[in-house]
Amino acid sequence: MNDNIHAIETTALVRRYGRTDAVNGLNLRVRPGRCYGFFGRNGAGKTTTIKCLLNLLRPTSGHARIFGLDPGTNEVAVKSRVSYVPDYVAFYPWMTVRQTLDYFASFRPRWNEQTEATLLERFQLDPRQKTSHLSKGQRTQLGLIAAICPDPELLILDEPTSGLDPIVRREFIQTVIGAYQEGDPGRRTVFVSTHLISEFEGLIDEFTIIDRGREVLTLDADAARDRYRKIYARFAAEPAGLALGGSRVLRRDGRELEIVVNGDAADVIDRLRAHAPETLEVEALSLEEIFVSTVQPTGAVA
Amino acid sequence: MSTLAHNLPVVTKEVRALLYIWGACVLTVAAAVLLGETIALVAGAMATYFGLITLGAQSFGHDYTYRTLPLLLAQPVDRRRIFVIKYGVLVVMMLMLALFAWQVRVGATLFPRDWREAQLIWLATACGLFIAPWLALVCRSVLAAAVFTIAVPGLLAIAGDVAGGILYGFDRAADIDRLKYLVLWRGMIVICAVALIAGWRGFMRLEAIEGRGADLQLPQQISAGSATALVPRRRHPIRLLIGKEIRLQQISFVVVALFVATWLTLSWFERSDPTSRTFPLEMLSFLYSAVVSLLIGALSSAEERQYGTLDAQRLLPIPAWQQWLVKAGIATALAVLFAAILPLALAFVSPTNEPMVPAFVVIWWFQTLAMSLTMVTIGLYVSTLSSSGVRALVAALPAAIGLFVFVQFAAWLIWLVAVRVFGQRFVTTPSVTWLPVLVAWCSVVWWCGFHNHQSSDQSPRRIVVQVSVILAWTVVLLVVLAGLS
Repeated sequence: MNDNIHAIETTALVRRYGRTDAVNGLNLRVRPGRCYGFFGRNGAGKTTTIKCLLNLLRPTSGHARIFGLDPGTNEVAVKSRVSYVPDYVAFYPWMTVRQTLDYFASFRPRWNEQTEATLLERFQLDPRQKTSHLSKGQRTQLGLIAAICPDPELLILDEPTSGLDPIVRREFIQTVIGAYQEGDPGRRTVFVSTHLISEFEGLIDEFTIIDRGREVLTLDADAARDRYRKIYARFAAEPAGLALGGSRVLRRDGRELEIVVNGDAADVIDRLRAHAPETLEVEALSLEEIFVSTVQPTGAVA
Repeated sequence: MSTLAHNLPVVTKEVRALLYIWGACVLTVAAAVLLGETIALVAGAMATYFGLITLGAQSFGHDYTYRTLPLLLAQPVDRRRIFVIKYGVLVVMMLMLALFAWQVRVGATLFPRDWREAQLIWLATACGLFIAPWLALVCRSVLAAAVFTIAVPGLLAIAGDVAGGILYGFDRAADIDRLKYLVLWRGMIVICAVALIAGWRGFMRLEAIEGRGADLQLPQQISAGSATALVPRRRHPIRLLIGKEIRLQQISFVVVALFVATWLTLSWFERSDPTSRTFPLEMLSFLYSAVVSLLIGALSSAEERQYGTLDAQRLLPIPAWQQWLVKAGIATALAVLFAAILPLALAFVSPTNEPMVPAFVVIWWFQTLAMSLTMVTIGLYVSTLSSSGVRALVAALPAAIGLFVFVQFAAWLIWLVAVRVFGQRFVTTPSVTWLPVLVAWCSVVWWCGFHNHQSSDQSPRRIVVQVSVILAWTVVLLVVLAGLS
């Protein structure tokens, strides 16, 4: 396999609905073997991007590539290597769980029956049950089993944990996704679009935040944690003439100050120390806090 | 706040839910009357009867279609008020449609005598008002409710016929007819009263259960093997796709079963006593062929959207064109089988008193085949643009009439030009010559449908371009056809 080929690549991807730009010039590069987070607010263009990647929607302009292939012209080659779990999972109501899995398995060259049996047991799904009698969470579980069992090279998840109870959600994220990637490290890629960023915190290697169809931030997760710092300072009296550069003020309440620093935290800390704070605490931001800090409408920036 | 202002949002929502079907029916009736052609008038009459019944089913079934039932029931509004508003809106919209159809006399072709035309309209209104809403709650599906509602008066009439034959003997047509209408009308009054009460009780106790309640179940002996199997079993993908496509057509099978039952009963009566003929079997076959072809096409793609399974299907690692070919192929095969072959087979199995002239049978069969192919293709195309089978069916009827108008107009223009240029009149084209041309037309419509089915994008621009291409291709083929003749 050519290491230079990205699992996902979009170049100046644009998708318009009428006069609305759902995706507006998006550039993405996802390397194989990574767990890639794709974050954005509601209506940011995440699902539209995923649908363009899967050839469910055609881009208005720009390109989307999966493993270097155009999903429009190499549809079978692309679809054979990809599994997708949408935010709303539906099955034919007349089929049982067993029949549904058999149905999907029949289209796949590979189907991991051991994984299937393990997951059915772990999710406590009855193979004889009709899919029309499954709850929303159970349908999602079945969708996940159907997506993971073909051992795809790329697993695309669009809000995969919506509807799952906390126990199954935790198990799914930590065990199932983790085990899936470890099954063939360096080759299996997970591309996950979610609002529950904190739950994927330990898995995400790299992420992109989009807002209004545009890329706002793309970073390696570890680099992001190094770069973004939250600083809490309490002073004896309200500091006068305190310049904080490009820091984002989360809270400023008389003697107390809470800010987020993007980049050179040391410089800001030095400035704060110059005002002799009673307390000065510095901590790394979680991915969720980075997301909030990036896309939240700018309020008070010092 | 006044009562009207307080209820306005709910009223508006109910009107909006029915407007699509109501508008399509009014449009079809108006177009049919303006055209004045027999086929168009028959389509207009069918739009009235089916429309009135479907409005009733839609009024109480649309919350299942749009999956908004939990939201509706969770609102802090008395259910009795919702019920009354639903019925109020339904009554007004149905009456407007019924009165309009009655005034323009769209059914006059089918039923020349005034009183029978009026009876049909009021019968459909009663069915739509009382039976269809109740069945929509029972079936949790608009389409299933509409089909089963249509069956009720038909089954009553057949029951009346059978009872009359047993009581009076099959040679006393007048007595049988009297009893039949007695059973029909009295039976309708009883069923409507029961349905109204059951509908009221059903709505007051309605639970927010999603999904359909009326999926056809295969006999246990057939389904048990795979349904209860615990070990994985793989099958050939194409075979699975075919099975799935056939399963999507379950409502069509109900229509087919109803037609067979009606046909066999009527032909049996006709053989017993030729004077007992109250509805021409040829007309029944023609209407059935048109409706079932349109229905089969309409269900093909839209029902996948309704189930929410379309994206998963499109992502199966099998070429999209193969999936589409299976879909369109199964729809066309079923349409040919049920709309063209079945009526012919019934005519042979249970012949009427009229002798069958082979030449007429061949011409009739090719015409039916051509109509069936056209209808299923129109239904299929509209289906790729619709979110549910009902919406596709409702939109397909005016689309078929629109195409018919266009073909008439284009053919007249071509004829006019040809006469000017060549100074000749065209001879009548034999039915068989139409088929390759029709297949060529269907192929382009299939191609457009394929693009719609494959993409989640259904922009108005794309539809305009496709319709323009289809119409242009129609003109080209008409010219070719004129040249052939």
